[in-house]
Amino acid sequence: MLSNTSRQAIVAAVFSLGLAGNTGAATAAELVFWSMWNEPEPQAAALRQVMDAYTAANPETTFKVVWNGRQNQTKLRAALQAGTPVDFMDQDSDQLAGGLQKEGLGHDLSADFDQATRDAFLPGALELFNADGKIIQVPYVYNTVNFWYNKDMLAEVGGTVPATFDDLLALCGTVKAAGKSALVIEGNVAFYNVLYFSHYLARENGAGALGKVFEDKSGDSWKTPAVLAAAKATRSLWDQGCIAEDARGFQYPAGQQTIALGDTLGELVGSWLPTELTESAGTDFPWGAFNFPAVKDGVGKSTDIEVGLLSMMVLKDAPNAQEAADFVKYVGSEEAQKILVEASGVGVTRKGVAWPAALADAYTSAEQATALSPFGGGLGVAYPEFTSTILNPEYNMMFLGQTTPEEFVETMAAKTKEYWAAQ
Amino acid sequence: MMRRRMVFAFLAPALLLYLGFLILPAVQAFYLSFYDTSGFGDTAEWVGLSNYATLWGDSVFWRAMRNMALIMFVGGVATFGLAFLFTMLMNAGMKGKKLFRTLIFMPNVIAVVAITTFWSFVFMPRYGMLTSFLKAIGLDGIASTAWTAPENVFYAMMVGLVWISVGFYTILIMAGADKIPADMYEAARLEGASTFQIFRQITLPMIWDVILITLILWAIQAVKIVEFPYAFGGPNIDQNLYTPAIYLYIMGFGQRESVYALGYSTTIGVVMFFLTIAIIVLMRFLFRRERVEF
Repeated sequence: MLSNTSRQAIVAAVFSLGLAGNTGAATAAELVFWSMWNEPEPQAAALRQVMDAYTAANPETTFKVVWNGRQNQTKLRAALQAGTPVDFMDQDSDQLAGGLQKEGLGHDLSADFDQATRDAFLPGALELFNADGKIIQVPYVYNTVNFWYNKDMLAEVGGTVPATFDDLLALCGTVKAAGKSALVIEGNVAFYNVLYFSHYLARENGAGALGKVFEDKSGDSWKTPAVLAAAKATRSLWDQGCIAEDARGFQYPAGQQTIALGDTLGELVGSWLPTELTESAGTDFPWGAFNFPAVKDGVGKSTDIEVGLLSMMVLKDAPNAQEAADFVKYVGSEEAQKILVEASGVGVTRKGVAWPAALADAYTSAEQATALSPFGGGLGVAYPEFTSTILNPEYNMMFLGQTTPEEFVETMAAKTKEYWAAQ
Repeated sequence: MMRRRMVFAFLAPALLLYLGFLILPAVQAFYLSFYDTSGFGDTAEWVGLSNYATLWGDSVFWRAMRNMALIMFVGGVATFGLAFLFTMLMNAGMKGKKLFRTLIFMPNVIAVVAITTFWSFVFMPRYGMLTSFLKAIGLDGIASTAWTAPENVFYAMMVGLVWISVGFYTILIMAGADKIPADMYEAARLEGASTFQIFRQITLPMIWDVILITLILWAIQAVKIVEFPYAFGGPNIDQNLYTPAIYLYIMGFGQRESVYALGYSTTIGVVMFFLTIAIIVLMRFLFRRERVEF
C-alpha cells in the first residue's frame, strides 16, 4: 500500500514525464522540403544556410531537403499521389498558381502574416498570387522583366535610355550605325518573345491588357486596332534593324551570349540574365536595366512591370504545417533575405534589402512598380494550355516572320472563340 | 504435371513483374484517357471520348504527327540509304572495315544531350561550325543562313538524328550480312557482278528478315522519339520540333506554363500505342517475303 506522499510523487512524476513528452512531440519537427533547386546550385547553398540559421535559433526544427530541380512541382504531383509526406516546397510563383495552388493543395498562411510582415514585402509581391485574398504562397526571390543592357556600350555609341518606344527604335539606328545590334532574342524561347507583345499592349491599354483581350469570348478584341498595332510594332523591331536577322536562329542561350561577346546592346528578359552570363561576361560586366518604354497615346505606365517570383508554399496536408509556416515566414525576414542575396546573388522580395550591384536597376524597378503582372501579362497562369499551345507559338511565328501581324490577330481571334466555345 | 508446375513457378516472378509494371499501368493509361484530370488530388472527371475528339481537332497534335511522319519517311530513307551504302562498301572488301564500323557506331555510346549540344553548335548562326566553315571557303551567302530558324530547325535536327542513327542500323544490317557465306560473294564477283549488283541480288534478299526488323525498329523509334529533338530544341522547345511523344510530355508534365492535362496527355499515349501496332502490322504485311534459307 503506497502512502499518500508516494502516490503524489508518482502522479507528479508521471504527469511531468507526460508533459515533457508532449512538449517534445509538439515542438520537435523535421520539416520535409522539396526544392526546385539542384544541390550544386548557389541558390541551394544559400537556402541551406538559411535553414541552418533557422535551426541554430530553433534547435527543435531540422530539415530534410529533396533537391529536385525545376521539375519540382511535377515530381511532387506523383509523390503526393503516393502519399509521401511533404511539408513545404518552392517553385516559380506563376507555375505554382496554375498548379498546386489552383488545385487547392496549398495551406492558407494568411493568419501567419500580420500587417507589418505583409508591409515588409516590395510593392505587390505578396499579393500578386493571392487566392481570394488568402496568402497561399510566399515569394522569396524576385525577378523583374526589363531590357538588360551593356552600360558601357550604350555610352560608347552615344545612346541614352529610351523613354518611349519611338526612342527605342531611334536607339536601334544609333547602335546599328556603330556596327552592333541593339537587341537580341532566343528564337526558340517563345515565352521570352511574347514579352514584347504583352508589354507593348500593357503600355497601350494598361496592365493586364492581354488577359482582357483573351477573355472577350467572341475573339473580336484581337481585331481591335491596339492589338494589331502591338503586333506590328513588335514586328517592326526586325524591320528597323533592332534585331539582327540571324537572331531568328539563335537557340537559347546563343542569343544572350552575343551580349557577353559585345555584339549586342541588350535583351528583354528577366533579371536572372546577369547571373546566367556571369561566366562568359565576367563579374564586372557593366549591367544596366530599363523598363519597357511608354508608347504613344498609351494609358499604361512604364513603371508597370512584369515579374517572375519564386515562392514557397506549405502544403495543405503538411504533417508540420505550423512549423513550416513559421520557417516560410522567416525566409522573408531581413536576416534570411540578406543571406540569399549574399550567397546566391539573387534579387529578393523584402523592402530595403539591397540586391547585388548588377541588379541595382532591377531593384529600383521593383521598388517603384505601380502594377505587377506575371510573365506575358499573366495569361499563362489563368490559361496555361492556351498560352502554351496557341498564343506563344502563334506569336513566335509572327514575330519571327513566318506569318504577318494581320494573320496573327485573325488566327488568335478564331482560336480564342474556338477555345471559349469548347468550355 | 510436376514439370508444368515447375515451369509456372519459374515464370511467375517475371510474369508478375511484367503484369505489375507494364500491363497494369498500360490498362490504367487507357482508363485515364477517358478522364479530365491534372493528376493532383482526386478530382478526375469522366469525359468519355471527349479527349479523343479534342485530339482529332488539335492542330498542334497534327503538326507533331506530321513531324513524326517526316522522321519516319524522310529520315528513314536517309538513314537506311546510308546504312545500305555503308554495308555495300564494307562488304566490297574495304580496308579498315572494323575501324570504320566502330567509328560509325561511336555516336550511339555518347549521351544524347552531348550529341545534341554538338549539333546545336554546328548549326548555330553567326558563330557555329557550319557557318564558320562556309565563310572560310568563301560561301558567305550560304553562311548567312539561319539553320536553326523556325523554317529550318526541323531539318537541322534531322541531320543530327540521321547521323546518330546510321551507325546503329548499319551494325544491325551488317550483322545479318556477315552470316551470308563468303563463297556466294566470291562466285558473284567471278561472274563479274558489280558491288551494287551483289548488294541488290545477294545481300538484300538474304537478309530480308533482318531488314524488316530494322525497319520496324526505326518505325517504332519514329513514333515514340523524344530525347533527340527535345534535347536539340532545348527546354522551351519550338513546336516545329514537336513529336507526339514530346507533345504528350508538354501536356502532361508542366513546363514553363503549368499545363497538367494528364488525361489528355494519356490520350496521346494511347493513340501512339495503337499507331505503333498498326504500323507494325502494316509493315509486316507490306514487306512479307519468302524467307531465303542458307
